[in-house]
This record gives sequence, C-alpha cells and structure tokens, in this order.
Amino acid sequence: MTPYRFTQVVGIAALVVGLLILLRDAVQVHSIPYGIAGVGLLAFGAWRLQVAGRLRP
Amino acid sequence: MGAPPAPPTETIGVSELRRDVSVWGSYMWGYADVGADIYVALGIVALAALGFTPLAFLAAGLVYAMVGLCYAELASAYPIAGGGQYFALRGLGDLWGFVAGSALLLDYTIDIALFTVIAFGYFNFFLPFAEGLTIQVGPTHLHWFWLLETLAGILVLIWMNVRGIKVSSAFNNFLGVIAIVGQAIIVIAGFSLVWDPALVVSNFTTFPATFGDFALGSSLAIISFVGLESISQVAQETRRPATIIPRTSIGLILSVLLFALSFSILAAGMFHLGPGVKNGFYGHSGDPVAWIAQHIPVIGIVAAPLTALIGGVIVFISANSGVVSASRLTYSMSQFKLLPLWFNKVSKRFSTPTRTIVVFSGVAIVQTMVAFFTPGGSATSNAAIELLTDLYAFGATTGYLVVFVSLITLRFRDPYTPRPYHMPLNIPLSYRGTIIQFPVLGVFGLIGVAITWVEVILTHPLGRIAGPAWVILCGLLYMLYRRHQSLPAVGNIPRDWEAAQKRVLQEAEEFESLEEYEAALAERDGAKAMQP
Repeated sequence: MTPYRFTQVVGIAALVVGLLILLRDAVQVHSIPYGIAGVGLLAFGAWRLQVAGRLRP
Repeated sequence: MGAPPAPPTETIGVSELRRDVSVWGSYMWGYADVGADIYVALGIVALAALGFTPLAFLAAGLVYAMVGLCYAELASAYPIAGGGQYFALRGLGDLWGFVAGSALLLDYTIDIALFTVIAFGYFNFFLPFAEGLTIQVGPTHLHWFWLLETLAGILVLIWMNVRGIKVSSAFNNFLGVIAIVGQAIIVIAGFSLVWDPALVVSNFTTFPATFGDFALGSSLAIISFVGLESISQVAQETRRPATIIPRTSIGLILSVLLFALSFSILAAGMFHLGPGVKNGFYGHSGDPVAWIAQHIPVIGIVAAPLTALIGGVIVFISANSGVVSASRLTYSMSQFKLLPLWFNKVSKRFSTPTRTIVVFSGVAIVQTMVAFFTPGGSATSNAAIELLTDLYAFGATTGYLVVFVSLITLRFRDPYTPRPYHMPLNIPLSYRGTIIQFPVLGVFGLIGVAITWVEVILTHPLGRIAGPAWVILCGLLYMLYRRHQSLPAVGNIPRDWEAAQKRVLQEAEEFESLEEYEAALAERDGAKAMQP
C-alpha cells in the first residue's frame, strides 16, 4: 500500500466514522463531548484527505 | 616483590545468536507478547475495579510507560539476552540478578499457564457448553473440561518446543497485523455504534470502586502491559539495537496504551460494571474482547467469532513465548552461574534445550493444577484465573522493581557505557569526579512500581504468599548451588564487564558507541593516572 493510498483510506474512514458518530449523537446519544468527537473526526478525515491530495503520485 | 595477582575474572561467552531482527520484527515480537495481554486482563480488571476500570488502566498504564522507557534505555545500552536479570546483575550483583531472574521466571511459567487457560477461554466461545462442565470437589468448583483443555494445550507447547517447531516470524508478523487491525475495527465500531458516554458516567457514579477494589484493579491492570521484557530478550538478535530498541519500545508503549485505554473506556460505555452479577463481564473473564465484539451491532455476528479465534491464537502464541523466554532466561542465568549448567544441555536428537522446556513447562502444569483446585469461584467466576493473575502481577512488579533500582545504580556505577536513549528528566550531578545524569523519572517509576507492588501484596491473598514463597525457595536453591560450586553465596563472582561491554558493542556493530565507550574509559584512566 502506497503512502498516498494509506492516507486516503485513513481519511475516508475517519470521515465515515465521524459522520456515524454525529448521526448517532443526533438520534440517540445526545451528548456534547460525543458530538465534539464526531466533529473532531470529520476535521481529522478532511485533513488526511488534504494530505493525501499532496501525496498523489 | 611482584604485584598481587589480579582476581580471576569471568567474561561473557561469545554470542551464538544472529542479529537479524529488524524494527518491524522487534516491534511485532513485543506486540505478540504485550498485545495479547488486553485479551487476558480486561474482564478480570473490570470485575475488580468496577466503575473505575478506565482509571485502573490509566494508573497501571502510567507505571507501564515509565517501565517501558526504563527498558528502552537499558536494553539499548546493554543489548544482550537476559533482560531484567542481566541489568540487575550488572547494577546490583549476582544475588539481585538472581532475584530478578527468579521473579521473571515465575512470570514466564505463569505466562505459560495463564495464557493457555485464557486461550481456551476464547476457543470455548465455539463450545458454549464447556462453561457448564464443572464438578464440585470439596470446596472447589472445578472447571474440569477447561482444565483438561489447558493441560493438553501445555503438552502441545512442550511437544512443539522440544521438537523445535517454531512459530515463524512471518506468521507472527501476519497474526500481529491481523490482531491490530481487528482490535482497531472493534474499537472504532464500538465507539461509533454502541458506546454510550452516559453509561460511563453512570458506572463511575453508581459503582465507584472502594480504595481496596481500585488497588486490586490497578495492580491487576499491570498484567495488561507485561511483555516489554521480550524486546530486551531479543536485543542480542536485533540489528543496530541502539537505534531500533528505543523506537520499537516507544512505539509499543504508545500503541498498547492506546488500545488498553480504548478498550477499558469502551467497556465502561457498553456494560454495567457493578459488583458480582451486576458486572457485564461476570462469567466472561475468559473471553472479554470477544464478549465486547459480540455486543456490537451490525458487525457483532461476524466480529465475535473472528475475535474469539484471533484472540485464542494470539494468546496461545503468547503462552508459547513464555516457553521460549524461559529458555532464553535460563540460558543467560546459567551462563553467569546463577543456575546450574544442567539447564543448558541441548538435546542431541532435536537440538533444543529439552531440560529447560520440560522443567519450566512442568512447573506451569503444576501451577495450573493448583490454580484450578484452588477453593472459591463458581460456575461463572474462575478462581484459577484469579490465582494465576495474582502471581503474574507479583512476578512482574518484583522484576520491574529490581530493574528500576538497577537503572538508578547503573547511572552511578557505570556512567561510561553510552546510552543511545536516556529516560527523560535528568539532573546532572557530580559523583566521584564524574558528571552523572540522575534519572528523576526513574525515581518516579520506582515509586510507581513500588506502590503497585504494595497493592499486590495487600490485595492479592494468594499472590502475597505464593509469590514470595517462590522467590525464597529459588533463593535457597541458588545458595545451595553456589555453595556446592564453591562460589560466593551472597557475594559476586569477579567479572570483566568492560571487556564484555566492548565485545557486545562490537558484535552489535555499534561502532560509534564502541568508540565513545573506549574514549570515556581512556578519559577515566587518564584522570586516575593524574591523581597523586
């Protein structure tokens, strides 16, 4: 697996998990820290995808 | 009149071990040992520390991080097989080297017994009827089927090791990667699909641990971090140990800490962690990670059996590493005349150290029998696991305690050996004309391990008797052996450590460190010659 592909996979996984957490927070959990974790994961995912863009061969 | 003859000195024999372990190999070697621990410890700690389980893991994790940094410094400075026993021998002398060695030997034999028990706990996920196969023998609720499986497992380990069948590095690395990916998926899926932060708070407020419960829980949590020793056990086979060992140790500390804390916080947000039957892990101290995986929606139906299978295999391989590490340690101890050379005899037929394998795996069988016949427990709580974890925690903390004292002592006694990695936080001090770096974090680590050791002694009713009894019994045998060999029973055999250190650095191809060491020794000798 190339560094580009690895970073891209991590970024996409973080976005998916972040969205899932925000969705669950809105529907079921209703917890501010949990929501913050979801937003943090979205930001992390976006950052990794940005880095992946720079690593693209 | 001529000069008095110099006392006879012993040197370290030439190493027959090849240096072919890489960064990844060294990391996976450690991970195969430490990474398996969370599969063992989670349920036991949750049953003891109740709502404070994540805090118990955090407390043990902080101590573990300091132990890890201590090992990173010592194993990169003294890259030779033997681990904690060798550091204690260098820093404190023969007797303490033996004490550390015997505590670690206790750990390795318990490692064989406990990890085989837990491995079959995971395999029994596929045999749900096994949990009910118990009989009442006097005051003991005997899990006879589980006992028979464990004994069969240990016999397989003996057979494999006597025949020289090794778990290949490639398989070890493959399984390690699978375990890391599997654990990451469970943690991520657990946090995003089922974890409830309100339940964490509820566990914390509804089921707070008493001081005694927390002490028991945090002292048990230390077992989820035992195994760093294995990196120093293979230090003599590691390429460029000065560069590789600190990296792999720190990587291992961070990854294991991350998983241990993640799993404990996940567990606290998934299950009620009350006392006895109110605890989500009641009846599942043998397969806690598979139990978590089973409760994750969507992926649980697949993740649970896969986790049980991977957990069972990785824990069984960790049990195997107990057999291998016990032979490495006894080899090192007998080389330094802390144990009879009888243990080093290699079988002509199989070219393996048959005696060591059979003796120490035999000890593990006895420990397993004693543990299973220990009164207490019930159909759903296992007294055998409790006794074995008690002893495991005692052996680990005793060994670590001696290693921390050795670290501090070696900074004073041997300031000349180059240390490619220093534990952080040092204060420069002048000692006998030499500037030494006093390890402040090492002192904190020593205090942390000492507190954990006291917790083990205070809260583990069986461990506080059986653990010290093992060390004392071994100590008596040691003294008998030394007297029989006309060697000092309490004192040290004179050894040329400087020549040994030069040869170790030469063999490790650490030429920069070797030059630095020789320069430091020359400067010391020059300063001595200048003195009136």
